[in-house]
This record gives sequence, C-alpha cells and structure tokens, in this order.
Amino acid sequence: MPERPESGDAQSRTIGDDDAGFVARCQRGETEAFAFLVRRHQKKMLNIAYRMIGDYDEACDTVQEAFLAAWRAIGKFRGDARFSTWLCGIVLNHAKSHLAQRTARSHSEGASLDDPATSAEGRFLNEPCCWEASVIEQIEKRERDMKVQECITALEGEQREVLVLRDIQGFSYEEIGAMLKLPEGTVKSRLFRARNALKDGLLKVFGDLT
Amino acid sequence: MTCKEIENRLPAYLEHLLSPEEKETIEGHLASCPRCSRACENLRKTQRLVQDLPDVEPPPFFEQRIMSGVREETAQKQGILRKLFYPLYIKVPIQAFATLLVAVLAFSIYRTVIPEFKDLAPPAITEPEPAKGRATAESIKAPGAPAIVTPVMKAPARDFSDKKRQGFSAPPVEDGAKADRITGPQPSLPEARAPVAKSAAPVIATREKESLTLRAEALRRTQERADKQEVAQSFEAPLSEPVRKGKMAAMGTAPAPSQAMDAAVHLTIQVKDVSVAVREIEERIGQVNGRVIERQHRDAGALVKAEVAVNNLTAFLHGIEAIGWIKVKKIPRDLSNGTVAVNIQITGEP
Repeated sequence: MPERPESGDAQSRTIGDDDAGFVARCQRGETEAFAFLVRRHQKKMLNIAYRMIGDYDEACDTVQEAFLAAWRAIGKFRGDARFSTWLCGIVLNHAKSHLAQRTARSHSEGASLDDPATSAEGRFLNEPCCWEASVIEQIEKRERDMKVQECITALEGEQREVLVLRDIQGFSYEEIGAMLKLPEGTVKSRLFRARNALKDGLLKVFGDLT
Repeated sequence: MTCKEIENRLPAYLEHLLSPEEKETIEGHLASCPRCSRACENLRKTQRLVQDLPDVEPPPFFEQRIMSGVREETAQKQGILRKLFYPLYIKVPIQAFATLLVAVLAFSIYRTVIPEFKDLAPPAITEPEPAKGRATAESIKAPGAPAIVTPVMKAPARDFSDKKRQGFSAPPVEDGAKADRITGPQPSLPEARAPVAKSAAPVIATREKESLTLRAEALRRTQERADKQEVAQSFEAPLSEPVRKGKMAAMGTAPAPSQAMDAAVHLTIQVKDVSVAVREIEERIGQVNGRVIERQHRDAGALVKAEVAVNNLTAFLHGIEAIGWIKVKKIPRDLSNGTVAVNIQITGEP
C-alpha cells in the first residue's frame, strides 16, 4: 500500500520544481503561465474536489472558483511550500466551504433530488472506460465505485479530507500536514480512524469485503 | 491487548508504522484471532477499493472556462489600475485641470468673502463721507459750525470704538449718536481706526456680533446723513452768500458754541455805524413782514431781537447782506413752523 503514496509524492516534487518558474511569471501578471499551471493541475484538483464533494458538476464549479482564487492570491505565494500543495489547500477550502453551504441549504430546503448520495445515475460519465472489460464488469465496477464514493462522502469531513489526500491523491503526511496545518501525528491518527470508519461503512454496504 | 485495541492499531500496522514489539504482538494476536484477522483483511480490501477508484476527467474546455474567468478578472483589475495610474497622457492633464479648478475655486471663494471683510471696517470706508459732509456743513455754517459738525461726522468711529470697549453692550443707537454729536469729544481718526483694526483679528468668533453692531451703526449713519442733507438742503441755496461772508468775517475768531443757545437764528453783523445799521435792519425786518421784539444798545453795538416768518428768512438775510459783515452763529435745525426768532448782534468796526 505505501507504494502509491510514495510514487505520488515523488511526482508532486517533480511538478513542484517545474512550477516555480511559471509561478514567478504568474506573479508578473502573465496569464499564459497560469494557463499552463491550470492545464497541469486541473485533473488532480478536480479529483480532489470530486472525492470531497461527491458531485461532478459541483466539483467542476468549485475547482474553477479555486483556480480563480489562486490567481488572485498568487502574488502572496512565497514558495514556502510547493505550488501544488498550496493549490490543493485552496481547493480543499473551497470544497469544504461548498459542502458547508450545501449542508445549510439542505437543512433549510430538505432533501434534494440532486443530492449526490441519492442520485446515482450519470455521475461517472466522465470516467475513462475500460474497453477490455466486459459490459457487465464495467457496470459492476461502476456500481461498486459509486458505493465506495458514497461511503467516502458519508465520512466526517476531517476524516474524509485526509483519506482523499493520502489514499486517493497520494500526498505525503508532511504535505497533508502543511495543507491542513496539522502535525503529522494528528494527520496519521485521523487517517487511521478514517480507514477504520470507511471499512465499517463498506462492510455495511457490501456485507463482506473478502 | 484487546481485539478492539488491535483493530484500532491495524491501519498503523499495515503502514509499517509500529515498533517491532507492537508488530510482533499484533501478528501473534492475528494468528490466533480469526475475527481480528478478518478485520485486517477487510481493511486491506478497503484500501484497495479506495485506491482503485478511477480518476475523473475534466470536462471539455475546462481549462478555457477557468482561464476565461481569470482573464476577465485580469482585464477588470488592469482597467481599474489603468484608470488610476497608468495612462500618464490622460492622468497628467486631468491632474493639472483639477489643480487649476481648485485654484479658481479658491480664488472665487476669496472674492466672495472679501465684501464681508469690507463690512467689518466701516470707519475706514466712510472716511471720505465726513470730509464731504464737513465741506457741505461748513459752506452753510458760521465759523462755529465745524466744532459742531465735525463730531457728527466722526461720531461713528468713536461710537464704534466705544462699543467695542464696552463689549458690544451698546446704548440705544440714536441717543448715543446724538449725545456724541453735541457734547462728545472729537476722537482723532487713527484713534477711531485702532479698535476697528483690533476687531478684525477675531473676525470669525465675533463676526455675528460685529455684524449686528455694524448694521446698527450703518443705520444710524444713514439717518444722520439724511438729517444733515435735509438741513443742508434747507439752507444751502438761500444762505450760501451770507454764510460765505460770515465765514470770511469769522476766520480766526470763531467762538465756541454756546450751550445756552435756544431755537433762534443768531447773527452777528459788523458795521461802521451801529445806529444806522440798526435802523436799516429794522427796515429790512419790516420789509419781510417781520416784527422787532426788542432793541438793546450796548457799549459799541446793539442787539436786535425780531421775529421773522420762516418763508421770508432767506429774503431777510439777503436784504441785510449789504449792511455789513455777517456771521451766522447758529441756525436751528427745525424751521418748519411759522416764524423764527432772529437775534442780531450789531457791532461797530474797531
């Protein structure tokens, strides 16, 4: 299991090194440099937002707002952390803010037909298709992934974000601690509780995972 | 270590974050406890499921969507900055125009305020008027007239300074002015101006109070001027010649005005022969339908008291011009009624 996080961390470091020059150009007001950074990080940021929010369209809107916020604040970026780490922090904040607004809205308006926990169809239309697998296997996998996402979405917010950052996006504990401004020990304990909670949730959904 | 504790430590165990002792303890427990062993296996499966979740792809033109928002915001920001700072070819003329506008505005305000300052210095402004008034009065009065007229014209300045000294607790304007006109000393012009100059300093603090005082002062002066013009108009034309002669005769010998003078015309006429002059004067009185009331002969002269109609007073005075040098000592202000007493002091030439 540690293989993926380590590889992701190495990839991030490489990207971070490459980002420095573009960040400097962005700070001089060059929008083309920022366009390059958007092109490079949009998928990763979208996936973080999607796993946090659980709704594709809302995740797209959130990422768009987060990139705009990053452009506004890029003058204040001093390079203490890597650009990707800084950008992930912005996306996470926007995702949490979006979730808080949605929660408040659902409390005042009641359950919505568009709520991601209940609207299952069409949520993975943009996922890459595995043409080698059979149609049945594709449908089974899609349903399984939907249930996993539902269980992730059902986690507490603090547990969900560390699980997404570590187990899905592969950030190191150090990077997660920098993003969330938490000590590494807290990140680890929160992650372990999140994994156990997710396991319990999946057991309720699937019965037996083995 | 209980099964619950083992279960809580399993994630750290799977990530190889436990010490060798803890790892050995957990591995021993897992070998003997099928429930915990299954929990460990479920945890591995959970992590695999999470890691197998596919990445979602950004929608088409997602980058363009983001960048359009970024460019729009950049354009707005640059627009604001450009308006404020960048286009010097627009900014400099606007700043120059604004500076010019402020200067013109300040000058116009200054021009607007100047009349108010002029109002605060009435004695200085009315200085030419007393000179003109004095000339007019002197042209109709006997040699004693300047002593009477001059205080009247200078009264405003002295009156104003007195009011300033009294902290603007001024007496009734009309009465105070008349008292000054008759008995008040003559303040010199610099003395009269001094309080005004002092009063200009606390302009802002006392502006309203001064304004009221000055308005009252101006009203009083206007009334005095009207009175004076009325008197002058009554006498100037008919009396111009006698007065001129009287003035010439009285040069250097003008007596001080008497407080005991009543409402009568007092004349002094210097002649060669007193008795002839008395007779001729009585004839003139008779010609204008006047009435001799009293005749007194003194050491080197005589005193004739008569009563003449006001309408005939001018003709009478013209009539006695040829008798000798005439000096008008006093002409009462109010000559509107019927007759006026005329006291003629006749003196012989030395």
